[in-house]
Amino acid sequence: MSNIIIQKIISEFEKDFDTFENYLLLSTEINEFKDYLLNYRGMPFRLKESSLQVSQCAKQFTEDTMSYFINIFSKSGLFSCQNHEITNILCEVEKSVNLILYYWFGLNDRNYQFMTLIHFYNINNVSSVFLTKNNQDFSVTLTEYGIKFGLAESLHEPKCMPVSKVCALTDFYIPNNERVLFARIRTVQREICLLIDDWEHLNSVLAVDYGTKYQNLQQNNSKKSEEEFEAVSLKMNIRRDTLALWCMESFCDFQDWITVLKTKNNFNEDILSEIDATAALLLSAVQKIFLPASVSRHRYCREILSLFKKFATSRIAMNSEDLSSHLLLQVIQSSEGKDFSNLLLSFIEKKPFEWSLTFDPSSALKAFSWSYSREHHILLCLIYTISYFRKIAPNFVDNHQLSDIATTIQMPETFAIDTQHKILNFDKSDISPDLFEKLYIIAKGYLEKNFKVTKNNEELYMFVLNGLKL
Amino acid sequence: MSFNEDYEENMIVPRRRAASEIKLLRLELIPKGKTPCEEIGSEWSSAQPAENLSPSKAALCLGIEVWAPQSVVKKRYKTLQLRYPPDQFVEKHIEWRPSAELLGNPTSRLNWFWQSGFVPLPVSKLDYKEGSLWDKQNAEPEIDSRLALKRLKQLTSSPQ
Repeated sequence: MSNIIIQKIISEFEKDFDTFENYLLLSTEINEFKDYLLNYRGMPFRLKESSLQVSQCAKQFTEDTMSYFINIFSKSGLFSCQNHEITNILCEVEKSVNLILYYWFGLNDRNYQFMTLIHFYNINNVSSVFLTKNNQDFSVTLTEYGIKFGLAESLHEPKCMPVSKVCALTDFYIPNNERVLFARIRTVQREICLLIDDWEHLNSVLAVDYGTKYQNLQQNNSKKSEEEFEAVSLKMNIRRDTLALWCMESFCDFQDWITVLKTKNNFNEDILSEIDATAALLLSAVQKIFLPASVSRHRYCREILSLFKKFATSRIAMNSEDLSSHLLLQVIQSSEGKDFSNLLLSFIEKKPFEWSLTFDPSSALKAFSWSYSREHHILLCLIYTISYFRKIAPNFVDNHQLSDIATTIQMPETFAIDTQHKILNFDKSDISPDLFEKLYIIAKGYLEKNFKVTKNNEELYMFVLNGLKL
Repeated sequence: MSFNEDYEENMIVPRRRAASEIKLLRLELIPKGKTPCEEIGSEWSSAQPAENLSPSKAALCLGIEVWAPQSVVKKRYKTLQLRYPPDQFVEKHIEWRPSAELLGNPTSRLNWFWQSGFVPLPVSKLDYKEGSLWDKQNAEPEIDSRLALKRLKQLTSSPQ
């Protein structure tokens, strides 16, 4: 029943998309809009003088878009459903609508998006109740992050469907036409570029917002600036989780697709190199997701952990010797309180030299180091250090690289202690002290042989040596 | 209205500059009325005095080459190289204009995009059929809201 109604709603939305688009384009009739667009960088700002036309159009835009969807809902028979069904349907519809909004921009200008309109009209969080049923009100809300449907009292962030869902990835599990596959791979590359562009854009918008409020707080420590700062911190934390979740869902789908294509391995050389390039691009994209955690000490929510795990597992399925992904997987498992993988440890003994680090695992270590035990951190750092030395030919490490290792070791201390989530007790029988000693001797050997200690870096060198000790 | 002009520079969509202060500063450095793409276009033309690519042409060139496969790119670049004396292929030129080596190798090509801040286009106006996997007929359109909606509709109507 729910599925049929979702289907009907999407179908109506598609049929009458022109009308919806006209609402989105209404702003082009306003004189001030052109100027606004030229100066707009993702942050709301006020026009010097706002005409009556702007406020009239804002009102019209709000009413039109809201009633547009309410009409579709009523046509599709949503209102005769049970309350819980309505909630579920609206949740799905919200995701779809926001994905369509992600792909929409006006006048060939990527600066002209739904968010631009919300900021231009100054209508963030304008909401309207459209259905009252059994004491439960359902509403539609226009926000800078998209349109929200659902229970009127719901405070959720607008959700968006992953972009991978509309990239037609499934079509190529059975490749029938290499030319089409070639074009599709390039479409996927473009989608990854665009998605990470959006990630960076939205994160910097958040950072500017946060920075401004922080500066206010520093300059005048008033109750108001304190409240504003608290609100923006909360907004940033929630927003980062939502965005990371949304991006990672797509990245996992893309990786699964690449893994399947790679295991087929019977493609033309040009196609194989495009697939490899896509895999590399995807890795650099995923690394961007670590940044809020490793740089700004953001603590990602549980759901994101399992997506990282999914991604690492899929990469290992493609290349069983991908040490970086093994380390990522272990980092996640450690932060879930699980044992240390013997497989990862066996790498140290079995693989004598030159491992391939497909990405720098220190970002993964840094991102989740606040949550796992000290012992696991030292063990992870030991493996990271050893692999780092083995990776670099001819194994010589300079000050800069050594300080990378040092900052990784130091990372857990830089987080505020969170006893509720940090895994403090670990199963001692998990790993023997001999193992620590053995790895420490290997790492120390590398440090002594391949690092030139001078007066300037002596302190750094000693810090690393001490940090790797249990 | 100037809004409705079919901007050729949209051949390569400039990544929206993020709103952080540093990035804003970079945008301010771009002369008024010019898009980042035009800036890069003019840098190219100074490195190529003989051809003097206009910004839109430069964008067009990039669009084509980037979306052509290795073999075609290498061939095309070689022809181009033969037309100019070696002293005109200066360092700066190599910096701004992705080399054949770079474009021919998909990984470095994507890296170049990554660093340049541009997003590659899946469509190309030119046809590259001979001996390659790339051709105009199979080039996919960019995913836009309409195509996405069409695919969403297919998704919801197919049994899960």
